Amino acid sequence: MSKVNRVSTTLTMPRRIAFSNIVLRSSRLIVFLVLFIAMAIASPAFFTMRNLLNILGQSIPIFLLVAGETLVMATGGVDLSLGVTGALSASFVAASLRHGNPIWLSIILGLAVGSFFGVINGLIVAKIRINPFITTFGTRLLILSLLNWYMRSSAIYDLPEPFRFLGIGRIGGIPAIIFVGLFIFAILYFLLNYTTFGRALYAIGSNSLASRISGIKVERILITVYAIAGIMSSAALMLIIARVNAADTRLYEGHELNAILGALLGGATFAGAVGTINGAVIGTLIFVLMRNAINLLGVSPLWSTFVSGIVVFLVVLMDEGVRRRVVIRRSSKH
Amino acid sequence: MDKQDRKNMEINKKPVLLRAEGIVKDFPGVRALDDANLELEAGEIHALVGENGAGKSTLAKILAGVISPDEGKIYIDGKEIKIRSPREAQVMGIAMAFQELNLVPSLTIGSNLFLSHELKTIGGLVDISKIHKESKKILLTLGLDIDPYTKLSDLSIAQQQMVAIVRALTFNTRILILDEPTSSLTNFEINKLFEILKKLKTQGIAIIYVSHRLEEVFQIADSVTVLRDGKMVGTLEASEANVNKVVVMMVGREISDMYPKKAAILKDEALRLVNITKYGVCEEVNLCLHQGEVVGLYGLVGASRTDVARIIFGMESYDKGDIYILGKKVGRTNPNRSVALGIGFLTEDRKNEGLCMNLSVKQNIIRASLKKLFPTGFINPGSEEVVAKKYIDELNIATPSTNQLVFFLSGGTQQKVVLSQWICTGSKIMILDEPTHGIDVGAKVEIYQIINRLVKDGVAILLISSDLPEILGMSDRIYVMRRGRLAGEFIREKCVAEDIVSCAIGVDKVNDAAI
Amino acid sequence: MQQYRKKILYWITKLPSIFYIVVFLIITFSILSRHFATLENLFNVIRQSSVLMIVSLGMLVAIMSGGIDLSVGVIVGLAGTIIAVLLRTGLNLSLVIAISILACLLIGTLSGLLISKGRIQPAIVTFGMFFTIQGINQGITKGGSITISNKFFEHFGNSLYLGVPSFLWVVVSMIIVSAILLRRTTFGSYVCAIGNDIEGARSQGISVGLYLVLVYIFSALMAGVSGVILASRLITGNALIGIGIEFESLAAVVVGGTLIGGGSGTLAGTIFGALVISILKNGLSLLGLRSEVTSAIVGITIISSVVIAQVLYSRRKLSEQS
Repeated sequence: MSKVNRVSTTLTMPRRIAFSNIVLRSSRLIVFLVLFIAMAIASPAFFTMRNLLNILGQSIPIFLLVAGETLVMATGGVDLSLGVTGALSASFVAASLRHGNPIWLSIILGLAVGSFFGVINGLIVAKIRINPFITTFGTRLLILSLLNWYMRSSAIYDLPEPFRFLGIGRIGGIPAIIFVGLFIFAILYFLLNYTTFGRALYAIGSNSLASRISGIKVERILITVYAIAGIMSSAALMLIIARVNAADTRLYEGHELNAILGALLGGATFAGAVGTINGAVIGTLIFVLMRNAINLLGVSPLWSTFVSGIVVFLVVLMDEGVRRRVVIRRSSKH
Repeated sequence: MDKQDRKNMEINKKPVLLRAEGIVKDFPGVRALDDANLELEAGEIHALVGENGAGKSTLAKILAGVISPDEGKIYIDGKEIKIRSPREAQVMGIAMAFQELNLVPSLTIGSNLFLSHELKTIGGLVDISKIHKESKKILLTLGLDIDPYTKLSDLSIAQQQMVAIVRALTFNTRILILDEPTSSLTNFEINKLFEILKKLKTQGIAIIYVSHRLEEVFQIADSVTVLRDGKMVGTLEASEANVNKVVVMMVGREISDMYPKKAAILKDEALRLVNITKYGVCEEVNLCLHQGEVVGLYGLVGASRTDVARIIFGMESYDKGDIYILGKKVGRTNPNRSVALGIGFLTEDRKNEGLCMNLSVKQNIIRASLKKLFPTGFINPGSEEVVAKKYIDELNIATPSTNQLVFFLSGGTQQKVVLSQWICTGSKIMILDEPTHGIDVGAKVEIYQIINRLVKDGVAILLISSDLPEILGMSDRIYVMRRGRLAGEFIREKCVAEDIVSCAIGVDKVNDAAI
Repeated sequence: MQQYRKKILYWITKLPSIFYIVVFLIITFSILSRHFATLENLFNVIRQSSVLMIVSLGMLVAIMSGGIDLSVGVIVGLAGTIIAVLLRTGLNLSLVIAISILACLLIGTLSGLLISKGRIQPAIVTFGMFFTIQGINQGITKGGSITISNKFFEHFGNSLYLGVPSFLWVVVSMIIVSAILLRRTTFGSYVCAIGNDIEGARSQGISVGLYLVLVYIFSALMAGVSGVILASRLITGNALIGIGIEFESLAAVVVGGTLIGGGSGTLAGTIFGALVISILKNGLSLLGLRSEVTSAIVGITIISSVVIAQVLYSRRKLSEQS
């Protein structure tokens, strides 16, 4: 094909933009580093290998939740039911293990429960077109009731050794859970960045109507995303019960709020199309560090929620400020 | 000239009511108005015409206070004023009836009429009965007998449009701005509107009439100003103006210069619609498209051309009829299947339907071709980059990199990105809906060149456009639609602009080109 | 006589369909449980619904403006904790209540400014507020509960004023205030305009920025008022009070027939919606069901009504287009 003759000369693009993009992406990294260094200086107990590994281990389940939430938010939605879905799955898993079922079966059962509820969320959001907020709030209520009813009859302790290994075991001195985390990180990273699924996901988050016109199967992808989030949630809570060796009413402690918070900290927004797995990692780490900082520095844990709120605001405002300069207009419509 | 005549002239010379000078307005990527000027006398109906994207709505909105100009001055009664908000404009007696109406469907007619300037009781509360009494009065003086307590959403679109116009008169209006006021009106209602406008003239109210319907403009306007790509081309008195002159001013160059169309070498049939009917939308639409051909689809707003396109593409269902693609009959489809079948759809609203604004050029180009380029589901970023670069090169897309967010590109460049998206999928049938809407002339020509290349490669193109010169210049054949039905079919060499326009309006004229 | 019949018929057709659901529920529960239709129980229902109802009024306005206020729950709690803490310091009760309401006003203003000037989505702003205020609650109460020790205040929760329970006065007056605001002032029509099309409203001369702030001040105020009432009933302030009301009030609004996108809304519908939820909760617990089951049923009802409303709405839109 021969080239089109150059006629058009209009071009309005400030050079500053490339720089601002980098600033936006690394600003979170900077926040994390600042926090990290501040803590290392403020408290000697912080900067030990043991403590760091411990923190890392704690953050893996949170990472899974945050990653799942990030994926959902990247499509322009939100999932408020993640915490309870995971809790329910985990309690089923605990009961199954107690019952003597093989571990691999129990784990699959747990993941299946998570994906089941995820699919339900996806169906309601994609096919019946109900606002994800309301949908997942509703499913959250339902699952919470199920959970309450189920948990009443059983609090389970003393889970089988091999299962617990995932939570607290070590391989070559490094907690096994970190390997689990790395494994899932790799899968999600690959999924989001090197598959057509990932590309379609971002397209839907940016503009679902344009994506539909491009021939993307919007419904199918949305359902899959919510299913993945459900699976992540189940995996996360299974790791938690493996760590604490208990499946009781402490299981549901506002995980979904932490997940959203972590996702926001990691760069996702409710408007969609932004949000990466790397971001989820950083968001998780910032969140965990924040929590730890509050502990170590003797700040009353009661103010931690307040701090979380302020941090959310600061992060969102910072985003908005950078965005204003870079002038990104969101144009997603269903 | 004797003394008496001179005196008469002085008496008859009307003072300039409104003057706008040097108005400049920039939006990201495009200069919407470049040194625009306007002069308006009391009792004058002044039309603003131009193609889509010429800047007429922008100028109107600046005068109404909705947009603030980057440069320029506005004078009323000789005094310079600054209009900082719509409310200030309203207070000064400038009011606008918007193309999009901008009314509130859940409120009554009366509430809508007095929105922003409600009549209040002594206590400061809104005086609902007074508002509706006044509304009834106003409606009656304009010859409209509607109950002001009716909810706006219960009215037809035409009635709602009338309400929008009436609202603009409730402000002690001296300058009335109408933006495409007749797009939803029947002929009967248009005549009624023109009666009202004539009455307003006698009251000394000046009217700015923004429209792309030239026939109407010539019926009602005293003078016509033509805009093209944000610049003033000229102002004509109604007595001097006719369609051809104005069209030439709107387009700006000889049609043959601008549209490098070559004769088509037809091949097989690509698309055929047989008696497509959708209740309330279109009726018995028959058209066909061949490979290597550009077929234009012309019509006024409301002719349902986009609906037909959406039906072809599977975005809307239809009740009767058949669609044949590449000779094979296809049943109900959806966009996913249409893309797989080789149909591409460049929509009218590229910002909301064509592009993912905060994704990169690269992502927007490959978005429709994901399955085609990467059948296994795994992406090779290298290939993405190569493909994107290929189209950026071939279509001369002005972007510093493949990762640039499309938001920052100019309108013409954005449109090229959308085009690339469809070319990349290897579409054999492309529906282009107003492809040069809101694009500068240079980019327009480039797009026409692209279209020519495509048909040379055997693509069939359905060109939907309200831009007469464009349709005449680019199409091999032209279908005209009017209110959901096919009103005529023309061959390019055998027709003139007036034939097509008349057909679209509905004035009966002999059709030479019938096939 | 004909005039009266016409008027009554007119009013009957004007009633939102949710009204019939209320009637249906009342009849059903009266049949299912003999304890339901007692004066005492009905009184209980109204009492239990008063907080939800007032909050729902505020949520209604937020939704009509095209937004949402997720912080109303924690504001309810905040009102109580502020009263509890300040009373400890010995300040006058009226002053304390005034400060508490003032705090809510401030919060509403802040949220409103962030939404209108900061151009941040209402969901995000109020979500952040939720965290922040919850944190403040926790900080003030140090995780525990603070008892409110003011005789008059305690008394208020159970007292009668002119033969009618005090809280009912508050509820009714809030409803009247809302009705006046929505129907008789520019506030109502401007909120609809903004919810329908924010830029369209702006182009018609409405000060969108100002009214958006007013919207969130209103919803914070409603939350504050109901927080005061709740505190007088529970006589404690702690950080858990009010959590969940944000979603219940959203449900009341939606169940009542208002659409989430904004632009229109029904006050009567919201009131009945709040009643429906309260009646459901009350009736189900009277039937002896466990709280988990009750929550499940309430949840299902909410979801189904939202689904139905959405389906009906889209079906109506489709028929309008063709």
